[in-house]
Amino acid sequence: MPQADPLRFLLRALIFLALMLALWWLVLLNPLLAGLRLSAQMTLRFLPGGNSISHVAIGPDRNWTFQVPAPAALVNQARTQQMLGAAAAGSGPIKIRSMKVEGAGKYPILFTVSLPLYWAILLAAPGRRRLLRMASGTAVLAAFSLLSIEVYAVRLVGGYFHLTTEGLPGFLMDFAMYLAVGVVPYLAPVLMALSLDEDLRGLILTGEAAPAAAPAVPRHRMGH
Amino acid sequence: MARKASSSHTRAAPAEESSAPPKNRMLRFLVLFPIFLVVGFCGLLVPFVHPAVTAFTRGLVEVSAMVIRLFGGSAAAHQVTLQNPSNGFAMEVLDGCNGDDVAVLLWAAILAYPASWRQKGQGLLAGTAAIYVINFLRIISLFYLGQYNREWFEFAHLYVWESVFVLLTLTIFWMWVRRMAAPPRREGPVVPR
Repeated sequence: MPQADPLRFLLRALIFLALMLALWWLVLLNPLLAGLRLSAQMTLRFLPGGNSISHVAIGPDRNWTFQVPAPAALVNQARTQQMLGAAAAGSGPIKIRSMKVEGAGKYPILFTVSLPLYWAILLAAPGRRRLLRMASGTAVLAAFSLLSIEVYAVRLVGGYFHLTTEGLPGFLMDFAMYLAVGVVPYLAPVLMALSLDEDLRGLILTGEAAPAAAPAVPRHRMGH
Repeated sequence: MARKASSSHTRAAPAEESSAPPKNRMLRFLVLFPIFLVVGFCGLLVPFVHPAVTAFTRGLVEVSAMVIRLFGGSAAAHQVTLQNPSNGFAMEVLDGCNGDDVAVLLWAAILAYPASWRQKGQGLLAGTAAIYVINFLRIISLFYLGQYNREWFEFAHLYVWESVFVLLTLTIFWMWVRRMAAPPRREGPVVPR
């Protein structure tokens, strides 16, 4: 089985990766980011405290701006007031209804890079009937992207107001961000491909090919 | 009837795991792999491990600068920053860029896989060496690419090299499993009686 050779698989996967990355970057990225933006905005609106003020925008430089309602308890804190420049203004506490936090555009893009990698692995893997696997895996990876953008938004806004930077919540938030940025985009496609593609899983985890389907045997009608 | 192969020339059989049925062994792998993975990734973030990780990254940057200079290039190492003194380009090698993440992935897979400790040791040594050599080439290639084009550097750094690295790790693991699954070598040609 020539396709079962690991190096041959690697070569095929690298070629497909180049093609899929080009497709993703040139064609699919903007629609994917628009989808992410929309879902992030919906999530912010449906979260406790969220309302129609919540807004997510992508700038021409691809940086993201999260506009979220500012909780009064947070705004009235001395640290927040100091950050807003209340002492310099000298006119009592500053009141704000919402705040805008800008984040680097490279992270939301990173959350979608799992898709071309996943497609490249599946296309390089031996076997057929890829369409269903590709569609279902893409759907799950897209859900991971949504989850990652939520983590990014919470970390960005929380970090800006020093909400999640200390103690166990800080560690957990750092860990979640670490997973979202450095682990999930690259590891999830591999695990997804291995869990959905039985042939590839059989090849890699046992070093052998999965048993092939039995050849079609012509049926003989029972004669009288 | 064929002559029986001598056991002295065959591979070392997997130790305790070989007695378990294949399905159970795979189930064990599927349970242990995510556990080892989480432990490994958490371990990289633990405060007392962090100085060791940073020291390793510093060493990697220093060796990269030395090799670039050895081949006639211009490079200097400042802590975890690789710099070209002639044009001012500087590239900071962060924790996630030192190959540790990918090494953790490979280690988790090999340690969770049903094999003897000797086989695991061989896989860990060879696999880790391969990963760090590839990462070393990655850092040097990014150093030159960054001086040529900043946008291409970002693209190659975040999307291309990381994806390639994962594919390489998968292939390394597959090659290790395949090596273990290879049929045992025979002592001589099969002679029919």
